[in-house]
Amino acid sequence: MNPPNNIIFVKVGDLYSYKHVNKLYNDLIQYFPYSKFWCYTDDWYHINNYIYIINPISSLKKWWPKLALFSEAMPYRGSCLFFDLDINIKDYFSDKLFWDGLTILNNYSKKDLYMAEHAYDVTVNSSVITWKAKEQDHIWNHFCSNKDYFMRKYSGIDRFIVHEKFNYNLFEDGLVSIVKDPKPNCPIDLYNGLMYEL
Amino acid sequence: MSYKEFIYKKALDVVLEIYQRSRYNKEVDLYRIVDIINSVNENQFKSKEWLVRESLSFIKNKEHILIAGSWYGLLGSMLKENGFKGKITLVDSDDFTKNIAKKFNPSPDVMVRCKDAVDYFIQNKKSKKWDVIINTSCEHMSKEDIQLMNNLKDKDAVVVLQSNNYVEINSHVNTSKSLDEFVEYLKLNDVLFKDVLKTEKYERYMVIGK
Repeated sequence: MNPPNNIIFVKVGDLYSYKHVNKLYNDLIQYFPYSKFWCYTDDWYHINNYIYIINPISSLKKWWPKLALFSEAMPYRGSCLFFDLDINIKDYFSDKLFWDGLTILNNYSKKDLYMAEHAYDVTVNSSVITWKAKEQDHIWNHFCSNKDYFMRKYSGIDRFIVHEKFNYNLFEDGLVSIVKDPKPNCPIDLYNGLMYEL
Repeated sequence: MSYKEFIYKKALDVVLEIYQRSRYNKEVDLYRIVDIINSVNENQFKSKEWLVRESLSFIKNKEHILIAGSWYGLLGSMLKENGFKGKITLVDSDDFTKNIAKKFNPSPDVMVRCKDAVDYFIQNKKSKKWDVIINTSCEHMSKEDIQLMNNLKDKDAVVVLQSNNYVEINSHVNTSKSLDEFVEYLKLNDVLFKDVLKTEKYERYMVIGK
């Protein structure tokens, strides 16, 4: 499998610091020396100079800025790999990646949870995403068409993607281990809401 | 029937209609029930009653109010109830709100439009003469958009603007830390009124000016 053309982070607000961005960069550069690294951020101070900075194109906060990565206005081209900042890279994983539409994670820790349809809950997770630049801009455009309502209705972008019926694929199990419900031999640890302190 | 009873009755009618449609149509959005109920909750009434009480002396003789980001149209109904005789245009980008806003505002003097409020204002400001512009949800809009509307309005038009410091809400992308901070970024030529309404969870700010 080819490595991604772009590896992208989002740091908006102060939940995570530049240290999380730089640590992820340092962990990933050994596996992806030819990828371009980008950070969509409202505060580039102290972020590693080898990471290209993308200024926010909207005033969204918390996790919602992630959707802007699908916008046609983004400067990158080609294959994209996104990571949340509460992720710990432990091993090589490029063989588990693919770029066929939008690909996100299966949240195996929620597989037995009862969910009424109107709970708008999901069993997916967008802490790791692959897509090709410019091919998913309809997601961003749809969000912008009624963003206040979507932000009231859905408590996160995973729910928005699933319940607004966008097409997506899932990575095969074995890519990530969710820290509160761990799986052995996964190259990536996902803290997923637990505080991830460096 | 009081105007509050009228609004609650209309809201309950819509909630019932949504439920009934949802029984045989899986595309019906049940979250609208929550959204409509929230739009007429106690805080919504309090903040809009405050607005009507404090702004009426500045706007009661005006001809045409533009309410930007009008949601389901509660404020239009309250202004009419409190004796505003002129026209009101309600603008909201959420298409679903349009029919409900019309149910809350049956007066022929209240027009409902579905459009981004800033775009609507810019595209229509030459043909419409709004002498009052009300925006009760500045925390949902960017500072730049609010400043743009203030700059482009007729210089004598009155603006009535509300915001808050309720940062916990995801869609509040432009909260203010204080009334003074809110007043400062509005850059109005003349501030006629400014005050704070304290609620259990947050402070609401209101500025009336030109």
